[in-house]
Amino acid sequence: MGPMKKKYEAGEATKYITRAQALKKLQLNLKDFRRLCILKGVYPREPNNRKKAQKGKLDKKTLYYVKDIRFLSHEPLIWKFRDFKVFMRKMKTAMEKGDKETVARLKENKPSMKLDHLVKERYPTFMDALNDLDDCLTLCFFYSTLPRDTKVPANLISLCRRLTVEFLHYVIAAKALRKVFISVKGIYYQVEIKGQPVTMLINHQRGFKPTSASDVDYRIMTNFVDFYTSMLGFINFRLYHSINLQYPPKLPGITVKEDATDEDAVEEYNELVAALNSSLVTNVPQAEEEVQIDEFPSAEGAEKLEEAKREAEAIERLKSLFKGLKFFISREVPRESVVFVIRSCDGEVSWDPSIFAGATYDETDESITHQIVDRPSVDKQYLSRYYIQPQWLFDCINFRRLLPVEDYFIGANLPPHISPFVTERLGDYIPPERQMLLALQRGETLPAEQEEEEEEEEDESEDDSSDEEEEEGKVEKKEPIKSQVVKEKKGMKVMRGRVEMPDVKGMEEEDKEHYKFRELMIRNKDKRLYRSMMKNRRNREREAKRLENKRKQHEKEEKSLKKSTSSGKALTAKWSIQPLSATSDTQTKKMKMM
Amino acid sequence: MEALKKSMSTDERQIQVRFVTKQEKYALPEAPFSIPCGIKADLLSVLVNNLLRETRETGWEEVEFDFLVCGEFVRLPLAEHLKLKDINTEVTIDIEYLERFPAPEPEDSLNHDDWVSASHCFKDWILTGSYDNTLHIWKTDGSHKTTIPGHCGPIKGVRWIEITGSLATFASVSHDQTVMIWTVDLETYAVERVHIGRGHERSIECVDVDKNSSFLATGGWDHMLKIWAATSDSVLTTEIDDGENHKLSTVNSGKSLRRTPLMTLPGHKEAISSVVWTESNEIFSSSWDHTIKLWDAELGGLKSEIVGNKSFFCVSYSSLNQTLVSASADRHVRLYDARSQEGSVVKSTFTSHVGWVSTVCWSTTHERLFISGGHDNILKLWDSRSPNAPLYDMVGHEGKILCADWSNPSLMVSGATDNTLKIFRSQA
Repeated sequence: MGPMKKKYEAGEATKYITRAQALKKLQLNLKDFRRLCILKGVYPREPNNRKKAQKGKLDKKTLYYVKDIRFLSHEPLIWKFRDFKVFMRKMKTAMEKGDKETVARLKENKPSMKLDHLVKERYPTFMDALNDLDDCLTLCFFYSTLPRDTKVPANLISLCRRLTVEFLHYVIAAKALRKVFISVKGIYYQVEIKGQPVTMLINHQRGFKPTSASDVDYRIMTNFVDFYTSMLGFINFRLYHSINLQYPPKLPGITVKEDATDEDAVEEYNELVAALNSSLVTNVPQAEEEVQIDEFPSAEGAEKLEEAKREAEAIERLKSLFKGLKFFISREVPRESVVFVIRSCDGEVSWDPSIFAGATYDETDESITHQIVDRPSVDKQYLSRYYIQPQWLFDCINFRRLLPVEDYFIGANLPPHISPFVTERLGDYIPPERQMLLALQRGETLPAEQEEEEEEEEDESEDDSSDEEEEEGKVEKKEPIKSQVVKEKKGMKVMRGRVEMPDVKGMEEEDKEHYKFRELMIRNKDKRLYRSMMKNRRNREREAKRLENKRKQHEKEEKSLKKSTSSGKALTAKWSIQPLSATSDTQTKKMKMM
Repeated sequence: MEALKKSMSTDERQIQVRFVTKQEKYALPEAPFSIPCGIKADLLSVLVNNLLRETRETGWEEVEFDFLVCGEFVRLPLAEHLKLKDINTEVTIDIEYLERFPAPEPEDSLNHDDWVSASHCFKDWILTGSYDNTLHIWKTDGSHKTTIPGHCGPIKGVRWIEITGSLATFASVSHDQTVMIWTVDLETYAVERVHIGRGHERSIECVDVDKNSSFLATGGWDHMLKIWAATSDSVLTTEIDDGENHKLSTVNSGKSLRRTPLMTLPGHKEAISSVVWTESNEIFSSSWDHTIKLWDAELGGLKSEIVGNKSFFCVSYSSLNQTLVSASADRHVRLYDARSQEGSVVKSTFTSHVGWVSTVCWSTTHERLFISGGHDNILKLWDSRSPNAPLYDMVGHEGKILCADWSNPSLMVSGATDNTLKIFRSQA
């Protein structure tokens, strides 16, 4: 008999390695190991069979692939970690000794790490980097808004701020914004880069410090942010060059030397950039090209082609949605998100110069068309502009058209802010506002107009058809006797052939029976899954019905309240798109745009 | 008329139409008219009548018209018909109108002692076969001429072979596995059994004579199609060589001459329900194995095949338009053009029966008319241009229709399980 095969020598047992073993192999401490794993993108894995993977033991240990750890061991950053450890040790001894010269010398030669090679290694193509851009952006935005006294190095916070502002400038220049949604956590933006949708979350600016700051472990997140900042730097560079902008971004007309000693000037310049209010210097003067969508003759996908065309047209409209409109932001409105959103859709915006740099015009400018206000009342109102709440901007972008401003006036009860990110499943409740949005997206005509037309038609036809029915009733009574039997003799009859009406109800019942039979034929393995699937579907339908009834109830109450109030105005804005009454040229132009 | 005026004054959508006809006497000027789109065929008929009345000075009698759009009769409201056919309603539509085929008149009901399972007409005589093993010859005025016993089982098929002077020959097939060829003197009604054909191993279902009246084709429950000589000429019988002793006999000898098939064509997997000869020496045979096969009788081989979903009970071939109709267990009557290889072989499906369709028969004079009888006791007259409704339903049978025939252009006969053979006279 040959050599006996021993247990746990082949297969899954040799695939996994525990964390302690990995630490031993790499000769790192846990903090450095964690850092390395985050930077390289290595994660612990769940084995199929834990007993086999852990060689017979059944405790829950974190397991990594052996190949991953071997891959980590070749990383040159490990030497940097060790250098840093040595540096810290030397610093400690020098400081304890009080040797200031040594301390200064050591500080000068502090070992530093560059993570560029990691970015290139982890994302060989640009599209790979775009796939991971969601998390990167969200973390960088979060770090850019952190107060300076958290346990995060200050230069990291300002670096994140710079990078995120550059990214926002790119989005504005490329007009890449597609969807916006305001939520409790912050504002979700969806941006389209090279056909890839990238969703980022920018948290709300809060005046107060978030509670229980001690619970959050910033060290782990800082490891991520280290990597993400290098990545975002590369991505920004690539994006800027793809639309022929100069990177780092330069504002036209202002030149600041890079190594300027005047820190205030640099700071001022950075503020101007961060204001997001001016277009950047381009490398090559851009010629506006009208790109025509190619027509590919395809036999099957005619509908899809139509849809794609419609979608492309809608996006073109979105890109210049606020063109020609001039906005002014009140002091109480959160400035950055509003500025970003307006500028991404080709609008002009300004604010009170005392709150931030970069304001182009002030409140007294006569050509302002809209003023964004978020307070219950405004003292002095100009006649030539609309005073609207900020939700109007976000809803316009989601609907991809300019909505009627009346619903968003100061003090008005705003219509619900519908999320564009939700995809309804079969049987889900779709609120009427969302139905309207979907209908508009599908390219159907404005429902209000159509409803009016339909009502008129119905009235007319109803009058006529009632008369006709009486006449036909009389005629028909004669017909069955006349037309049915043509000849008769000796118990034999000849009748006119009649068209057979399809038995709809019978067919339906038959279909139901067929369906039940097919249900019986499901295999036992799948029966449980099928039953739970159908149960969930029914639950969702029930939930949707309940929500619908609730909505109907609410609307009934509103109607009764509306009738009882003397002013006659509805308390909630009724969701209907009605054309504005024309009062000036600009307004008629707006109507045409709608 | 009132209804027409009313419907024309409503805001219903209007369609431009032009009335065309192939019948000269009903010609109208070809100016387009604008008519409401929900109009039905009877109102259209009224309209055309009024137009014709205006163009003729002399008295005008109301004539019923039928309307065709794109080769199909209009049975539904015009808008629905156009929608079904996917016809563009923006263009001026040509509506062809023609005088409606007059309704057949019920004429007579001939009583038998048992189910009437086979019938064939020729000139003034009707030949029927019944389940009580007897054949009957009747005259078209309803008088019974003679009863012919002789078979030992229910008779499933009868065919006149030829009539020369006062002598007629006919064939009958039965469950007793024999084909019998008879001669009858049409003045004295004396019948002689001339030949007995044995060869089928099980009951024989159907029989047909070819155009030259020289061959018979029979099909039966043994899945075989057999071809026999139909002439009672003594010359022909000597050509058969099958090693058996034949006794030559003359017509008046009284002894039956045993006959064997000239050819046996296997191929079907189930019982053959009906056979029919075409004009070019080919045979169509329909079977319960869901196929219709086309055989070449000269070479004795299978030419082509039409496959269906359900058993076929009857086929009928028309030499006027070279098409085939089939009666099937799925209550549809189908029209086939067996020559065409492109597209679907089924040209139209006629749906109106509520049960099995047991028999079909083409008209010998009209290239578009045929009758079909089914287990719903109704004999229907169809025009091949109107697939969703028959022209006329002939109601009267109280039992399932087993056989139908229209070989005499003026008589439609049908035999059923209520022991009667009913005759309807067609007017055109």
